[in-house]
Amino acid sequence: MTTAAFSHEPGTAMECLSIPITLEKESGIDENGRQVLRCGFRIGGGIDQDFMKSPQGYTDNGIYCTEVHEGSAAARAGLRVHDKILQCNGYDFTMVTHKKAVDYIRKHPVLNLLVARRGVTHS
Amino acid sequence: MEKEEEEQEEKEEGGDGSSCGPTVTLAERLEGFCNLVLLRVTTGDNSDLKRQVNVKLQQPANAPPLRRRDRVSMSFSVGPGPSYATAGAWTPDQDSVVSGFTDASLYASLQRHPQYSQQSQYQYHQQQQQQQQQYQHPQARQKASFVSLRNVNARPLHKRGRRVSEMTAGAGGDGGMGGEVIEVQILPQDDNWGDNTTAITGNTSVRSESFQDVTIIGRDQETGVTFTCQRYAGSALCALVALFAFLSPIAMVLIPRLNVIQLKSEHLKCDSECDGLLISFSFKLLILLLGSWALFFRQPKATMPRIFIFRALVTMLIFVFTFSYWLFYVVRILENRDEVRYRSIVYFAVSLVDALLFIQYLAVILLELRHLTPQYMVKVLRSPDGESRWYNIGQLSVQRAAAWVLEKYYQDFSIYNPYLDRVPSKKKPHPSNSSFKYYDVDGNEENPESHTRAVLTASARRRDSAHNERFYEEHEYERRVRKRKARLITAAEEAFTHIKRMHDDQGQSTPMNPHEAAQSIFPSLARALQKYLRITRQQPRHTMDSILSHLAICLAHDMSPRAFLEKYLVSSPVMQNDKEHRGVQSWGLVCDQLLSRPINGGTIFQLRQADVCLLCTVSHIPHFSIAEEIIHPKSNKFVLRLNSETSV
Repeated sequence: MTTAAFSHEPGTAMECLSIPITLEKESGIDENGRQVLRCGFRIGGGIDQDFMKSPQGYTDNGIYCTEVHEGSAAARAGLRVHDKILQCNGYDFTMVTHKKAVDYIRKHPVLNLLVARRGVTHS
Repeated sequence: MEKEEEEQEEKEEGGDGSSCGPTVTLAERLEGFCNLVLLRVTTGDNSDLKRQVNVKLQQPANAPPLRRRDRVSMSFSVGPGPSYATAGAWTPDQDSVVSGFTDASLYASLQRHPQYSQQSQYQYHQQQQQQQQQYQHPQARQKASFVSLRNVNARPLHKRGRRVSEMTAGAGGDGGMGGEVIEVQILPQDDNWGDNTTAITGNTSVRSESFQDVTIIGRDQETGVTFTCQRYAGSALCALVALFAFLSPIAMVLIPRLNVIQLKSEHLKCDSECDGLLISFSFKLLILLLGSWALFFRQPKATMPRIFIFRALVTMLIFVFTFSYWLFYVVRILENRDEVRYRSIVYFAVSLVDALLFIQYLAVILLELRHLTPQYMVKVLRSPDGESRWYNIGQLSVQRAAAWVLEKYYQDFSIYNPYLDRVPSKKKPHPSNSSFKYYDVDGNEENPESHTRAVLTASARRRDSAHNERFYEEHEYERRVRKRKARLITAAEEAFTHIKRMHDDQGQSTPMNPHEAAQSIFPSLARALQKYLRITRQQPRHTMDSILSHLAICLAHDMSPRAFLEKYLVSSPVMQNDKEHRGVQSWGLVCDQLLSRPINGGTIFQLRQADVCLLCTVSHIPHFSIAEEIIHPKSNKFVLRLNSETSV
């Protein structure tokens, strides 16, 4: 079943092309002075969010990358804005809540992402 | 057997031990047969005694079977207890119902004692001394224990009636003494039954009423001269005193003028100052009169059991003032006729009027204003159906608070319908609903406790399913009520469309006045209305005439059908019931503390009328501590926080 990756109903089966991205986090210091591992991008979306209210105009409930910071690990790894993350370290990101997605991303120091990009993997 | 002495009282299940009471001989014609011998001795009197005597009959092996029509005379003796001798109220014959059944075959075992047939079986044994008659014959003691049986459906005996009917054993023509052996075994009974079966009444003999009853009868009068006197007595006295006080300044001013006492004419001259005083005097009197009329000239709201303290206080004050003023008047003015001036008399009268005005001010505050600020909360709980309300009440005495609560009761509570205590269910009560009767025949005495235990668990299991039954029954009942209500509204709307107001000679059908119009459209909604009234158990409350007159009024005033039906659909407040529109409603007030004391937190008093009980509990209104909290205007700023993105 090939359905559009960007209009995916969470829970249904999907088959699509995706871009593998390996992201190694870099360590930094946050405002409290603690050592954290940063990836350098922002995510939005999730099955508990309403995609119709997203300012970027996303069309489904998946996890999207809404911003990539300059010179960050994400930019170096090849992540671009408005990429939809399909999988992260084997976790399925097409049917996760926002909080869960954040937890999964923060779990490991190296992320193996599978990403769908408009115009590249799909037209 | 000696069992006849051991007539014991038994509670529901068996007890143990035995004791005795006065001898009873009841011989009744037996009309039914059943598989048990259950004797129930109940007193229908004002003593609430119920004694159950289980008598098991043992059938000896060689007893010939009885025929159906055989009659047996038995008597049992209840031995004397000291309480019985003094009480004298347990007169078993006319007060007791002994009901029982026996099996025809068991009759075979009943021995009819030859001695007893000759003795008066119709005798009526009352107290201990009669008991000795029973024991005249030693044979009697040894052999039979007579038990009087009676039809179980018989009503309890009237206190004055004497029911002695007889069963004589009828085997053969000798009047029934066949010589069989009656072995009557009494189940083991509670030993202490004599202690709690004392019946204490005011009766000294069976044929008399007690003093308690007399006072209860006398209490029911709502009309009659004594009640009316009592109702108006307090107000009449106060009115008299107030009238006397009102007229005294006028009298004081007028007495010198009327030449009752001789004053010199120059003393009687009234200059301008005196005139001014007289004018102010008359106006103050007028204001006093108008104020009293506005506030106090009305029907007393309630007749209270104890004196109304504030009103008595005010009346006493008025009386004291007036009396002292008259005293001064007589002493000062009438004694010193030569030096007194008219002006001083007028001054005096004006000061009395001022004093009366101030007393009226005090009366207004004490009687009208003091109880207006709420200080307590009273919860009024109605007993048979559990409806309750809360009210705020001011500082009042218990009896005034009761009158106040009754005002609110007639305004807020719904009508109490005693027929709706149990949810009316469609199906007939099946026999398992009734309490389980346990009969023990054939003299099996092994394990009576295990039998009762089995009975108890069976009835407990039935009780558990009864909780569900109530829920489903109520649900079903509400459905049926709603269905009938819908039909009633439809029928009423249809009926009302037939009637149209006649405008300016439309003249096809004969014009009718509202009553005739009501009668003409009533049949079309009569059936639906009757069914609705029947299911809500309201039909005793509304007669045909009242319905017709209500319909006539609604038609005359152009009311809609729903407005006409409101009277039957809405059952609150209490005054909706026409029967409550009496002139006088009597209630009884019960309270632990004195009724003229003020109410306090924790006071409980109860109002009773027929089967309605209002329990009123008073509690303090809590003191409210209100503190100011400031919200800083700078903290009134808001920031939009978008949860939708997180930076990782």
